[in-house]
Amino acid sequence: MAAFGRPTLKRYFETGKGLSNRSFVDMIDSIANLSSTTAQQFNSDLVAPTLIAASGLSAASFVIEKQLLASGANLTGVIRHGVSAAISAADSRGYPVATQETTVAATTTSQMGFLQRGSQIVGLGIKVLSASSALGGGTEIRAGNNDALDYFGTITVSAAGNYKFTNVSASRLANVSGAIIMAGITATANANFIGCVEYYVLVPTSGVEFGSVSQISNWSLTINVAAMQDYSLRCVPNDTTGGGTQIRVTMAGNSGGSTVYDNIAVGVRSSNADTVSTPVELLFNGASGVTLAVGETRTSDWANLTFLDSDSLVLIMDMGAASPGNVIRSADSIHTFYRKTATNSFNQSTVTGFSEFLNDNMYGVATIEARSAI
Amino acid sequence: MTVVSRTTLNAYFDTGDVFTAQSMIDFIDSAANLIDTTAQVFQSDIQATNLIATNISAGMVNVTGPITASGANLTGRIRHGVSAAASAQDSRGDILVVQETTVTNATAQVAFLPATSNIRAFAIKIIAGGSAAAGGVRVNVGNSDSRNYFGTITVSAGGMYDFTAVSALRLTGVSGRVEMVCSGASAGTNCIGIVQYYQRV
Repeated sequence: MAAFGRPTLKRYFETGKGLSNRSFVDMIDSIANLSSTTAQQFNSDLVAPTLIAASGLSAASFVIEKQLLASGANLTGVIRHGVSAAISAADSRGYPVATQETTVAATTTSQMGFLQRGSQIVGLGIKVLSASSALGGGTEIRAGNNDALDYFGTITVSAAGNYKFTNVSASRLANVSGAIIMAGITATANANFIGCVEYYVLVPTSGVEFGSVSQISNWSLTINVAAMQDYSLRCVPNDTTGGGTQIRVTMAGNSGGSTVYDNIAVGVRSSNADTVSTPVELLFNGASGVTLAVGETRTSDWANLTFLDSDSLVLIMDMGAASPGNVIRSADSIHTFYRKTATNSFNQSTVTGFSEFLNDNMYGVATIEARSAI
Repeated sequence: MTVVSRTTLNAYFDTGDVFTAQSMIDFIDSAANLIDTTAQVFQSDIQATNLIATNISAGMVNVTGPITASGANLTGRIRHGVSAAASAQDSRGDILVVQETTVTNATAQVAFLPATSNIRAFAIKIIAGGSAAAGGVRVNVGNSDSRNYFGTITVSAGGMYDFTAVSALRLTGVSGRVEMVCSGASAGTNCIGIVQYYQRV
């Protein structure tokens, strides 16, 4: 499809010129079409009194000269408020404070919040609804994280009210991430205080932090298979649960001999044995492929792959060329399996000539794990 | 008005075709018009370097860089954090909002909270205190029904004070007027009342 500017198009239709099919095709292709469903890109800015988007607007930056109105807003990343740094002195922009709070039941531990990387805590508080009497020792409340229940401190109160943790080490309040928990150690009644954490998020300095690792599937591989040398194997598991932005696999070795993989990769399935984009290679200590000793298991490095719970995955294993071509498989007969001999396909999204086996087994991969950037 | 696709339009003008008035009408109706004043609806996304408008309306705005706005009114619930889908529970917090107003020895409305507000804190900045011998400055925080519904503190020196002994039950699910009054203040405009809150769903 070729798009031309107005001067070119106007020359097509000058008085006395014959009209050609090409003239009209070029004109049609050069103007925005209301029924087109693929994105239409303008080289110019678009100016209108109101731009209305049914689902969303996407932009690298967004400048609003007057008001930003939102009936509900989920703001991710770093939020800042203030005047432009260009027209003022330093520190002309501050970080709005976010708060999370949760009812904490007596003698239990509750997660108050899950802070993103670069969070700076400015306050830890508790609203005590019901406390133990001073004579009874009061109510002891701890604030911490998954590693230490009292990482941020402990206070004991004996009356209802609004309290703050005031003697917290400042270094522990800076650059916090992950779960913040509180525990009522000697509370007298159920659901008798509300823990609060207040924080803001600084611009991350570098890198990406990830949340917890989830195992999205695992299989028992018990059947030794041989004569798979030089095959490219593609398995579509039918029972993965979860998604993420990174993925890794644990490979299981044949229990009768070594297993040699030239390359291992994974992608999101489009149809058949194909993937929606070039599969991502799964490396082992930074290297392509892996050789497993008898019965050995090896876990790959993390690879970047964004996928959803609803996606199907394609696990791609290019076997070594030498005999005996050992591998190991499951016996559950619930997966879809593809293979093609004398082929390496770990970096191909669309493949041809693969044989399809429905209700087959999982080959080589014992576990798939995922995690997501936070 | 009939809107047809590029493929259909191109077929109208194949070599050898005799095109009709209807062909040209469809062609015109299918293209965005620069001087039309009624909304023109595209089925596709529109990509441009800048979209410039007096008003932009969208169900969602996805910005990978900064949002710069000289004024921002965010109604409803405002949350900040990573996607709930990408992490464990409670990965998004509610943005704290502060309202403050000068309070004298007459009752003043510090804020008018939206429904389901949860109050995080009340505070008072005493700019000029009253002598302790004279009873200091007595600050009440309440609502339209009860001037000390949230509590009372008495201070005798300038400074920043928190209301710490507030009934926690009264801090949740609040709406409407929040009022303060400073009795015994030594000047007409010598206290600033503050309320911090966020709005839950």
